This record gives sequence, structure tokens and C-alpha cells, in this order.
Amino acid sequence: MLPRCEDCGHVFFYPRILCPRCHSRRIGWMQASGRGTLHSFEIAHQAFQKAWKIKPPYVLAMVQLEEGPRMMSNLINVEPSPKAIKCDMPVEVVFTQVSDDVTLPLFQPRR
Amino acid sequence: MATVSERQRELRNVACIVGVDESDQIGTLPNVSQLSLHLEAISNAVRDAGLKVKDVDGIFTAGQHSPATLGEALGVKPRYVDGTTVGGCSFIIMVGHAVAALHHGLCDVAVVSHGESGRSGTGVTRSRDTALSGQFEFPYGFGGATTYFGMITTRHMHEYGTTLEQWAQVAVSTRKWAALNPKARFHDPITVADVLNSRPVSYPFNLLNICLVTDAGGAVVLTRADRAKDCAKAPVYVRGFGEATEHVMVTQMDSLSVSAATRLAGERAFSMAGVSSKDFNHIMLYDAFTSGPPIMLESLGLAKPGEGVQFLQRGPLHPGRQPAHQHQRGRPLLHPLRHVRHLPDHRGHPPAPRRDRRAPGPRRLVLARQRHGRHALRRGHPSPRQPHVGGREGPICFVDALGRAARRTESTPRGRPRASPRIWTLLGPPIRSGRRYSDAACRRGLSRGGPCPRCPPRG
Repeated sequence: MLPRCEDCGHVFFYPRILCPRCHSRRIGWMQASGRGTLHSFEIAHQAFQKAWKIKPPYVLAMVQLEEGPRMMSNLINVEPSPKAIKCDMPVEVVFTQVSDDVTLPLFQPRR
Repeated sequence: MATVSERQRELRNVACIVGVDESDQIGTLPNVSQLSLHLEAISNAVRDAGLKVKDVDGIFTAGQHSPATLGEALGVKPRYVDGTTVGGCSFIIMVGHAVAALHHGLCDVAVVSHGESGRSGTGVTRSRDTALSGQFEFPYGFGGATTYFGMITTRHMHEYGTTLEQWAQVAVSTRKWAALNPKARFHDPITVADVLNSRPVSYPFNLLNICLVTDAGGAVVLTRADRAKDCAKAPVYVRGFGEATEHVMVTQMDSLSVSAATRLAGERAFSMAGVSSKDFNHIMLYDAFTSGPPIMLESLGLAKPGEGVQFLQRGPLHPGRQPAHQHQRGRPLLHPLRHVRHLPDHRGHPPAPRRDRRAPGPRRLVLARQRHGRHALRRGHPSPRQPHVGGREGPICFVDALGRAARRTESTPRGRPRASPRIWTLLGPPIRSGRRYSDAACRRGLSRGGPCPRCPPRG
């Protein structure tokens, strides 16, 4: 789900209580397609936070969603190498349960 | 093209920088608290200006310590404070804020201070604003500037075909500059291969693409132009400044490969100063990551989009070569001082001995010996390690990684702002004129019959 302005139709992310384009307060939600492209990426060879438990290397991803906004995520099910990962490659969401009460929208290459 | 109002233009040259200095030491200082770094820098900079700490009535800082904390520790009760934190460039935009406050009489002596125990973390409370990044970035393993600048860099490589080798070249040149600076942590030359083979941190960055973290403090003292004549040194007039903010999270940038905040801040600063990006021959960019300076050059309009590295490879990056050089010593020297660190090297100092006598006392001479390289720059004498260093420079542009730019010009030896930018680089000869002896002070030296102390020997 993505927030969308009911007045100007602008779709944005992260959610906030007014539209960052027309500043209307009438905000609704829309069903997102779960598809997008890999706008940019990094291949992390170390943890950048003490709480981070996943063993490097792992792929930090900025995803350009089909609906317009960009979001941060991880790219999974891919070899962590710049040979295998290219900007603008199509990706799709994989909802991944990481703990009992947290599920994250991660992305994988779209087939 | 962003412009500033007529009222902002009225702030041109109304205030000047009269004192600049650093903490007593720079490096790994586990025995010096962050607050002490601030206080050392402030007291040294105030002394540099020929003033007393009790003269300070405006305190400008950012980050962990509020200006109230600094005031309390200094034992002064300031009339005006500003502690706005907007990232690494906070201290640069404070110069503009200080000029505005000075102009309106809200304070008479303003100090902009930075102190950071970045390496040792002494007296530091680790806390940051995690309201947004804690929800939308940290769960995926993001954290710290490396993970955000890397995104920008990868996208730039995709859009313009820039390569890892090109970024590495920036680090190689940066190290050459570091070799000229006695206070830099690393002096040994490195090669492109060294950068590419250093420990991978987060593709596209290896260790040598990333700035050092250092314990250090730096401060700048400003006052109104009419009061500057009471100070110890020739003033540096603030001719223009600009600021802009665009994003906190990089997903929200209009474009990853061009910084809108840098572009806007630059245009505003140029508009206020009445110059264009073409007028500069001396630029100092904050080189937190090797991709930063080229992307900032492109955002400022000094290089075409995607051609920042080529622009630098034509020469500016290397000591001893060219006009619009970058002052890239932040990375190998230290991170936390940011631009404050660079100010002393670039202030206009008339070489006349009379002025030197007016500098306060023996302490300065001791410092001059310790900081031989830097003070050689200040006084315009060539030092053994910097054989081609000249004395005076043209307008200088400081640009921060997040985009705010502040611009200032030189003063003449008599303390008046120059009508037009003079074309001196850190490297010596005036570039546009192509003549070595165009500076008035330089000619005076010649007329007395001795060789010009600032120019390489002829023949």
C-alpha cells in the first residue's frame, strides 16, 4: 500500500499527513503493484549498525516503484556482485518475515 | 536560476572573518573531550583575531553541544545564539547566519565553533534523529554516510559511465595534497591500484574512498566591517553565501546524480556576491567521499553533468599544476573540522612585516613554527615543502557535501574588499594574467631590489 493524494493524485513514500506536492491534507491509500526498478544499489561488506545480524555481503537497494516514489530495501536472491546487479533492472517485492512481528518488503530480480 | 533578494545582497561585505584557528592538537585525542575541542578552537581563534574571549557575544555552533553549553563553559553570556543542525554543512551556513546577526547589531563579535571527538568519542553522547531513517532505512541495514553516498555514486556511474578508477584518482590526488600538510595523518603516496585493492566497505566504496574520522575542533571569529580594523589581522570579507536543504533521506532527492541543494545554494551565493560559477579559479570542496567533489562541481555548474572527474583530471586535482584547484585535504587530514579547517590557509595576509608585528605575541611565533606549512601559506612565503605556494588568492568557494555553499572574497592589504576577483591560486602565480608579479605587494618587494619571496626563481 502506498499513500496517495486524493486531490492531485501524487503518490509518495514515506507516508505523511500532507501531500508534498500540493500540500493537501486529503490523503488516501492505494494498492501498489509490488513492481519497480533498481534505481541504485550498494554491496555492503560489513554491518553498519550494531544491531544488524545478517552476514555480509548483502545488497542495499534503492527501488524506484512503478507508482513513482522511491524506497530503500534489500535486493535478495541474487549474487552480491556488480556483475549480476545493474541499475534499472526490474525488481519485484518479496514480503519477508524477519521476526515474529516484523515483515519487511524486500525485493528480488523480476523474472 | 535561484537568486537572492536585494535585501540579502545588502549583506555583501558588511562583515568579515577576523580570526581562525583549530584545537591545540588534531588526531586521536582520547584525553580531550569534545567540549574541550570546542573551547580550544574558540580561544585560539579569538586570540588569532587579537580579541578576548569576553568580547564574544554571539555563539554559533551545531551538533551535540548547544551554544548555551559553549557559553556556559566559556564563561560568557552571549546576546545571540544559533545552534541549527542541518548536517555536516551546519558550520558553513552559520557564517551566513552570523553575518546577518552582526549586520543587525544582534551581536558584535560572533564565533562559529565546531568540535568533534569523532575518533575517540570522548565526552560524546551517541544519539541521532532516527524518526524517519529508523523506520525506512535502518531495517534494511543502512546506517552512516557511506551507505547513502554510495547510492548516489552507483547511480552516477550508471547514468554517466563514471568508473571506480576515476573515483580512485580523486583519492590519489587528495593524498598528494596531504603530503604537503604537516598535520595530515597520512603522507605516503598511494596509487589507483592501492585504492581499488583496499578493503571493500560497501561497493562502490573501498576504504580509501572514505574520509577519516578525527578528533579536532575549529573556530572562526567574525565581526562587522567597521570593527575589523581593531583586529590583529587583515579581514576577509564575506561577499556572498547561500544555503538550501533538499532532503534528509536520499530516496527523497529529485535526482541522485545532481544535488539540487548544492545547485541552489551555489546559485544563491553567486547571486548575492554578483558573480557566476565561471568567475572562480579557486574552489574548496568537502571531500567526504571520492565521488563528492566531482558531483558537487557538476551540481554547481563548474563542470558539465558527468564530467566532473574529467574536469578534475585536466589538472586541478594535482598540487603544483593548475588554476581552479581543489583544496582536497579534508579526507586524509581530518573529517570533523570540515571547512573551518580550510579557512586559515586561504586568508589574505599581507606580507608586510609591520602587520606581523601587530600579531599577538610570542604564542603566535610558537604556533608558526609548529604549523610551519600552514603559516607559510598565511604569510605568503614559500615553505620548503611547498615551493610554489603563493600568498593571496581570489574568491573562494566552500561547498559542503549536503549542498550549502558559502563564498567569500579577499580583502586588499588595506582591508577594503576588492572590486573584482583577483586570480591567485594557492599555487602562486595569477593564472589569468599569466604574470608572476602582478600583486602590488610583490612588486614592492621587487622594487626594494630583493627577489620576490613568493615567486619561484626566474630562469
